[in-house]
Amino acid sequence: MVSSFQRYIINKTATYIVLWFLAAFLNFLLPRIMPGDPIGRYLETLYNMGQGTTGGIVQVVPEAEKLRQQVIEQFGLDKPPYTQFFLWLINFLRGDWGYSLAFPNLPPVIDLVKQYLPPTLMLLIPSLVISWVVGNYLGAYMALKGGKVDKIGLSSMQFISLIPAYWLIIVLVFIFGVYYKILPVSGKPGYMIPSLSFDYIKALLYHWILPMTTITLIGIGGWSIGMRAYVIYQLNANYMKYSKALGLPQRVLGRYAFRNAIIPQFIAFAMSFGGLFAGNLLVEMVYGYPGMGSLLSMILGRLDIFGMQAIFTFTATMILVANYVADIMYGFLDPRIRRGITEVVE
Amino acid sequence: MKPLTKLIGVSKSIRQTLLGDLFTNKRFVIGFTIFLFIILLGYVGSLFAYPDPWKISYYTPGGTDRCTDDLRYLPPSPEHLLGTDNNCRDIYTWLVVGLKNTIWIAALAGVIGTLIATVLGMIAGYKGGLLDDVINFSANFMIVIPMFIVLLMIVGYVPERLRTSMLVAVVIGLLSWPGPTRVVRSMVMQNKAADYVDMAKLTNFTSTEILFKEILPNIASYIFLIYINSFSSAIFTEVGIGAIGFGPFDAVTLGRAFNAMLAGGAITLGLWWWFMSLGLVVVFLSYSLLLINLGLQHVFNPRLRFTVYAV
Repeated sequence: MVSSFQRYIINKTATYIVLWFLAAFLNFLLPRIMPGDPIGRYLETLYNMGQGTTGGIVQVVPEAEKLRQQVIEQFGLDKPPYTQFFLWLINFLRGDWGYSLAFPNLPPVIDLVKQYLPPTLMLLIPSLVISWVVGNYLGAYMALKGGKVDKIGLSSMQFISLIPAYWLIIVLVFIFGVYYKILPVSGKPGYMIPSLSFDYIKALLYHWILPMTTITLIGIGGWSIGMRAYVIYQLNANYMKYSKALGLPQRVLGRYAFRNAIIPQFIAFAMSFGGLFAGNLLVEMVYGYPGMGSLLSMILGRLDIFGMQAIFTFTATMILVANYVADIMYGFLDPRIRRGITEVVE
Repeated sequence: MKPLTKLIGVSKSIRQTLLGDLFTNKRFVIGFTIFLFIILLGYVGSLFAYPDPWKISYYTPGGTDRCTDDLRYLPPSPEHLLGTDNNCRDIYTWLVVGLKNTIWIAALAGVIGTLIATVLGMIAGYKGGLLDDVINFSANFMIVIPMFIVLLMIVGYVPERLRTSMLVAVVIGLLSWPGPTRVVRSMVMQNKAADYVDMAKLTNFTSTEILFKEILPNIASYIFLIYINSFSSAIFTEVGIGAIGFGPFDAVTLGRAFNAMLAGGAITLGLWWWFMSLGLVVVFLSYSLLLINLGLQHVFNPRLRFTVYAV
């Protein structure tokens, strides 16, 4: 006999597998229906490397057409679309993500991701944790205090959460990098080759402070607004009125409200990963921090279809996993679902 | 069939109190003032701007076509209210022209997104069944995938000459329906169970009539709120993709101005008036829209006025 909670998990798992297939299919389809000539762009890059001139090789050199056919054959782009899709899907799951056309030496995309992902995670995870904790405390404090603290706090948090991250980092760079000259003006750790050496990590940390501060600050705004609303909702709930009538001290009431309000914030924590990842890309691109944002801007600028396909699918996978975890957590944290008392209301 | 409100006859005074409430609502008044000010900056401000944002410095009489070093990076002056950039172009002109274009792009994107959301949400919420399942599933799917990344992917593939403001607006609009659709859907579902819908059914209204003459007027105010939200986030999106060079290529927008500012090295050169003016316009524009939204919410939903602060 399958319990309600098990059925819930099975349901969710099936849904997310379907979602993943859809996302992968979309990522496969989009590059192929878009205008633009990725192979031509790659050949141009190659040609410019050798000649030091720009533009138009594809039209000018008669051998270009032959070369193009060769490249298309090598990458299997002449095979029927469904064969291409399944070949790509199987290879993706195996860890063979193809070769990036953005760089003339065709590095494997997975190597690029291995190199650029750690700095991004180094940025995202601490900032998510810090902004979540601080934001929740601030939000609960505002809601429990009420009055002027709440009013001023809420409007300032609303203002903070509306500042575009890519602009805030510009302002911070100006203040700390240009005016006071204590922090670097660009996220690129010199001309060092990315590696796991101590020196590189030290340099990276130095360039990590500003983007980290930026996304943490803006995150605090968003989390505190959400938490404030949840706590106020709890304070207005009937059980709270009852407890108040029983004469429980204010401190205990506040704790009750906080504990109940934090549950949706746990779920939001896991869910926010995707949005944060996307928002963070812009910060990285603007600051030149050597993370996924920088990699993506290189790949997008050079129409690297294999790179885009792999990186977008990888991103979608990460986001879906985070959401899946959030959904399962939701079932777990809410005892009504865990014990199978109620069905989950979508 | 006449709408029920007409049959029963709702007094006009409701509308009057609504407007009265609106203009005594502090948030709305502040937000609306800021919003008006920014719109005026775009339209009246462009009277003080040069006609062509691309034209190289007008500083010398008649304007030259050559960008020499003494015309580059000029500080703010009466001739150039926000100075000139690395290509000797007038920054103030870029700001006001960009502001106007961005507002139009965001307005159009908001209309497209809200329209799709309203239609899909009403169908899903009212009809239910398989159609509802399909719409709801696709909305949830689209919400999980960050739209900004999909947008980047689409505009990244489109060659520059095809990347017009119209295209960017349409793409932003087409990608912004999932969240609003769910809101409209749940509102329609709530309204579907209301007594007035039962009454309309008894009066032999068809479902189209019920949807458009009964439910739609009831949720119209919320749809307007949704529109303001979409408008605001479309501004963010346009400036975001523009800043990294994937915005519209046929016009000067705020995003493009951001991109020019980054490329021009405003930060390292310490030209604070350049990046502060651009950023503050975006921040205050979205803050004013938020205030307008909150103000309208309080007026549309009187219950909020009593519960939220009743702690």
